[in-house]
Amino acid sequence: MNDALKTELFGLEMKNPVMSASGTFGFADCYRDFFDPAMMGAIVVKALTPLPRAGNPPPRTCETPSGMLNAIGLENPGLREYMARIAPALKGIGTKLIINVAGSTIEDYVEVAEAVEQDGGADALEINISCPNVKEGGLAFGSSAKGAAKVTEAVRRAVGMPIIMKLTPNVTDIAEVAKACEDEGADAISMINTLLGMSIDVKARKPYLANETGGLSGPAVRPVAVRMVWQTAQKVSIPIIGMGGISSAEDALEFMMAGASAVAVGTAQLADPMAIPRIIEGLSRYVKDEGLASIREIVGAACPGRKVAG
Amino acid sequence: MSGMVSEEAMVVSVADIAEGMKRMVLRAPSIARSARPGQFVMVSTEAKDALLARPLGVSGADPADGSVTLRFAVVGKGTGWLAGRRKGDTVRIYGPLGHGFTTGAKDCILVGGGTGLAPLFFLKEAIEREGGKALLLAGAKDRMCLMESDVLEVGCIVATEDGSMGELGLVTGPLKRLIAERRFDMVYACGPVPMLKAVKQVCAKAGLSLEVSLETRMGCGVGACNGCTCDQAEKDGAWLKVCKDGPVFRAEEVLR
Ligand SMILES: Cc1cc2nc3c(=O)[nH]c(=O)nc-3n(C[C@H](O)[C@H](O)[C@H](O)COP(=O)(O)OP(=O)(O)OC[C@H]3O[C@@H](n4cnc5c(N)ncnc54)[C@H](O)[C@@H]3O)c2cc1C
Ligand SMILES: Cc1cc2nc3c(=O)[nH]c(=O)nc-3n(C[C@H](O)[C@H](O)[C@H](O)COP(=O)(O)O)c2cc1C
Ligand code: FES
Repeated sequence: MNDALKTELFGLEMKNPVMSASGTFGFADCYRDFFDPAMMGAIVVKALTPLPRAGNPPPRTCETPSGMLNAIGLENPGLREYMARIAPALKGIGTKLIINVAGSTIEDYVEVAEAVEQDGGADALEINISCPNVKEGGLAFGSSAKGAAKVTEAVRRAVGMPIIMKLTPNVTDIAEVAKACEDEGADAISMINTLLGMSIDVKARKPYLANETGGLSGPAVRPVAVRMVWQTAQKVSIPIIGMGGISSAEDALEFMMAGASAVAVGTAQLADPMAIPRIIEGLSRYVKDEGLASIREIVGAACPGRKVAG
Repeated sequence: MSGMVSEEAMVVSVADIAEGMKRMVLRAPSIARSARPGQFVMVSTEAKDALLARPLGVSGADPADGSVTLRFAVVGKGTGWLAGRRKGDTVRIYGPLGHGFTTGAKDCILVGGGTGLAPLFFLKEAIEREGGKALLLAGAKDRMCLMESDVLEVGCIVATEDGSMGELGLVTGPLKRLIAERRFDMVYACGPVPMLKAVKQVCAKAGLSLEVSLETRMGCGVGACNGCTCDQAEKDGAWLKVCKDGPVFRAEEVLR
């Protein structure tokens, strides 16, 4: 372990700034053969809703140039099953645990948030107001500063544990949405969720995905995500968790230099089960080569107007 | 599912087994040691724009020399890239993935359609090694879609829809005939869904249990993305994942 990679987010001490992105790491049960999830800074699990959700019909994914579209549709076992079977298995996982919360009403978010807080096994909540793949996936809230503020306010009132608001890039001004979340008491921002997209099967003359539209992720979205982090870092003083197409340590550094205090890896991990350890290893090498006492020294290096301290 | 690893595999040999069909032997000792028939590997390619790894069935594995055999049709970017690898090149693969076939049958029939034959070579070997008898039935549109040279080598009954090789018609023809002749204890099938459904009907009528291997588009191959759902069946209230709950299922679980 490399002490120079230690990162602190809203009081949460992490071994390093690298996490899994929600929806690409299951409930931390899928990649154990490849590496011990305890090596990550934090684990972010699949979205959780009050009731089980079957998700969208297949096909649900489609590869696109340097990326992929997905329309999983928040498939998850629901709160009860999570508490009975999954939460116990996540105890003692050896690193920080962040639960991604989704819902179609404010009450949904509050219900899951309260249950997770009561259970006590998780370190933070990531409030997903940005899923583009279900009609009521929270995007209705996430696509305006007002809606985002409403959810933040309600969850803030309900729980004392840290809350991270996960934002959608499918808006005109993401920094404004982030600011609204900060004003209502969010502890951090994570960005970006997927970009709404579509791919058409020319032979079949219809969209590839059964859901027709899907969310674009992977290297194709990286420049958009980096730009958004950079803009948001100048507008809010709470930490940002950056994601969108990170596949290498260098990509992670881009986000951190743009102002993100930590990063998450999604699609790259799906494509290569060793992606996360490889990225952590790469960052470790970077701080050594650059002679940095802490990776924090480069956070915001390319964003002089960054507001958050440290 | 356990014992999955990511390996830098070395290409030992590549051969054409029909037009647009390859047999590739890789040196991947860890995967070779634990792979079971019906399991698959994900192959990472460096093809332009191809981000995700490609699933290919394990078509043979020998723990003694650490070799893993793949048999595949060249249909697009990823398989095109793979087909271009030469002896001595390396390819990153991870596996073995998923649940394989239940072996242990004493006298069984294996039905393969097109590229669905790939995992059956391995299954046939395993069953025979355990002292069972395994009859291979190969079906395809035409002889181009068969893994011709390998199919001829292991010996099997062939049916093609255009009669260009073997019997004219669907594989269910010879299947029905065999079943009428003697009592088998098990049938295994891999191929396109319409073929699987037809095989299921025949087996159901004869009261024979059937295991089928399914194909879907996959993201990760390990159960992390929920991209490979089979909306035909549920387990614990959730749809089955082909990569983790399968790709081999009991026919009645997934075919309606
Ligand atoms: C568990 C499993 C085991 C498999 N085993 C074998 C095997 O042993 N031998 C073999 O030849 N093939 C096998 N396949 C199919 C193989 O994975 C695909 O042919 C391959 O991924 C195509 O990749 P590509 O990059 O060459 O094609 P692409 O460039 O991605 O696509 C070419 C065309 O093929 C279509 N396509 C791509 N993937 C699939 C798919 N999974 N199902 C249907 N259509 C698809 C695309 O829509 C496109 O029209 C298996 C699939 C699964 C899920
Ligand atoms: C298959 C898949 C499933 C996802 N599921 C979720 C989810 O349940 N909740 C969520 O907040 N984001 C989800 N996302 C979005 C990712 O967490 C991430 O924000 C996005 O993919 C960008 O990062 P990447 O390019 O590294 O994948 C999903 C992404 C993918 C590809
Ligand atoms: S392919 Fe990702 S869950 Fe099956």
